[in-house]
Amino acid sequence: MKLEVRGLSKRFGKTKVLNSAEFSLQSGEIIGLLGKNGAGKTTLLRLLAGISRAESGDFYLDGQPWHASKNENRRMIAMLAHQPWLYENLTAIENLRFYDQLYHCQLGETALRQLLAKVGLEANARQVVRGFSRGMKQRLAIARCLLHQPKILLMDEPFTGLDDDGSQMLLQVLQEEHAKDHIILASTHELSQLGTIADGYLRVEAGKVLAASPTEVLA
Amino acid sequence: MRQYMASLWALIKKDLIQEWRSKDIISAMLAFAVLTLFIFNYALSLSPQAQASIATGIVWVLVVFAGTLGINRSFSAEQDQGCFDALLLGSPDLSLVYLAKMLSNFLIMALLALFLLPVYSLLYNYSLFNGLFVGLILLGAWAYSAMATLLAGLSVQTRMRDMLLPVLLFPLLIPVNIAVVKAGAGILEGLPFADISIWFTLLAAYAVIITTISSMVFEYVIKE
Repeated sequence: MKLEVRGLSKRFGKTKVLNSAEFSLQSGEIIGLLGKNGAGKTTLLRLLAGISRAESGDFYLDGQPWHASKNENRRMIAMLAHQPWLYENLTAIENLRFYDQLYHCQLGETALRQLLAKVGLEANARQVVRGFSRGMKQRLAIARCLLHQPKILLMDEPFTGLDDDGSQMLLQVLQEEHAKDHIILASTHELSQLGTIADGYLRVEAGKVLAASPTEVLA
Repeated sequence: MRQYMASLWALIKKDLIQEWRSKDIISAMLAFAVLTLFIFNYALSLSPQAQASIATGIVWVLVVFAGTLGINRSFSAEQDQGCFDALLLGSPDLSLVYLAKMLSNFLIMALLALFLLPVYSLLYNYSLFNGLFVGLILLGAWAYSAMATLLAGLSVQTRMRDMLLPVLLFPLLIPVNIAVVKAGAGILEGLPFADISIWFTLLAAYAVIITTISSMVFEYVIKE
C-alpha cells in the first residue's frame, strides 16, 4: 500500500502552513515526522486524517485518487492526537465500547479487556477517565486507536505523558503494527524513543515536506 | 440501516450516561428554571383568565432560556477533549453526530419541560396537564433542539461561544416562539383544535425542515 500526497496546501488566515507539499508513505514503514514548533506537523496529520480541509492537494492510494474524508476511507485511519479524544465521564471500558459501537467493530467484552491489558490498563477498566493521569489517558488513547485495526496510523507526539513502561509498550505496539504492513507516521521532537524503530523521516520545513535520512536526523 | 441505528444509539447513550454522571447540564437548567418560576410567582398575580393567555409564555420562556443554557454546554465534552475530531474520523455518517446530539438535547429539554409543568401547576394552582399542551411543548422542544444543536455546533468552536449562541439562535427561533405561545394560549382557552392546527403545522414543518437541513450541513459546520 502506498499513499501519495501531491500539491498539499493549507493556510490559516494569511499564514501558509503547507505550500504544495509532496511526499509518499509506504506500508510497512514507520516514518518519523519532524519539524520545529509551528512548522505544520499537526496540521499535516490532520489533513491526512481528513479532519481538516486542505486548500488544495490530491491524495492517491496505490495510484488511485483517495479522499480521507470519505466514509469508507475514514475507517482505514486512526489518529493519536495531542488531546486524547476520550470522554471523561465514561469509564475506560465504556470509552472503548463506545468507539467499538461507532466503528461497528463488534468486539466482545473479552477483546476490549485484552486491548486494555495490552496498554496496561486492565485494572482500571471500570475507572472513570476523569481520574486518569495524562499517561493513563495516553495509554487508553492508544487502545482507542488500535480498536478498529486501522491501516494508516497517524500519531502526534505519541510518547507524550508516557512513563518508561508506557514508552516500551508503545514501541511494542508500533512494531506489531509495522509487522502488519500498516502505514505509520508519527510526529516527534524526541528521537531517543522513535529513533530506535523508525525506518525513515519526513521534515516539515517552510511549508514543504522533505525526506530526511536516518543518519542525517540522528547525527 | 441497522448499523446506522446502532451508531445513533451509541452516540445518544454516551451523551446520556455522561450527563447522568456529571449532571452538568440538567442541574444548571433546573436551577435556572425553578428560580425564575419562583420569581414570576411572586411578581405576577394572575387571574384564571390571564393564566390561560400567559401560562404558555412563562413556561416556554423558561424552557427556551434554560435550554439555551444547557445546549451551550452540550458540545463541551467533545470540545474539551477533542472528541469532535474522533467523531469526524470515526462516525460512519456525520449526520449521525448531529441527530444524536439533537435527540439527546431534546430528551433533556423534554425532561425539563415535564418537570416544569407540575411545578407550575402547584405554584400557580392552574393545571397544565392537558395532552395537547404537553404535545405542543414537546413539538416546540424538538423544533428548538433542531436549530439550537446546529448553532451550538457552530458556536462551540469560537471563543465567544457563550454569547454567540443566543445571538444567533433567538432571531431564528421567532417562528417557533410565536407558534408555541399562540397554540398554547388557544389550548388553555379551550379553542377547538381546528383553530390552532395551523400553529402545529408550522411547528412540525419547521422542526422537519431544520432537522433535515442541519443533518446535511453539519459536517461543514463543524469541520475546520
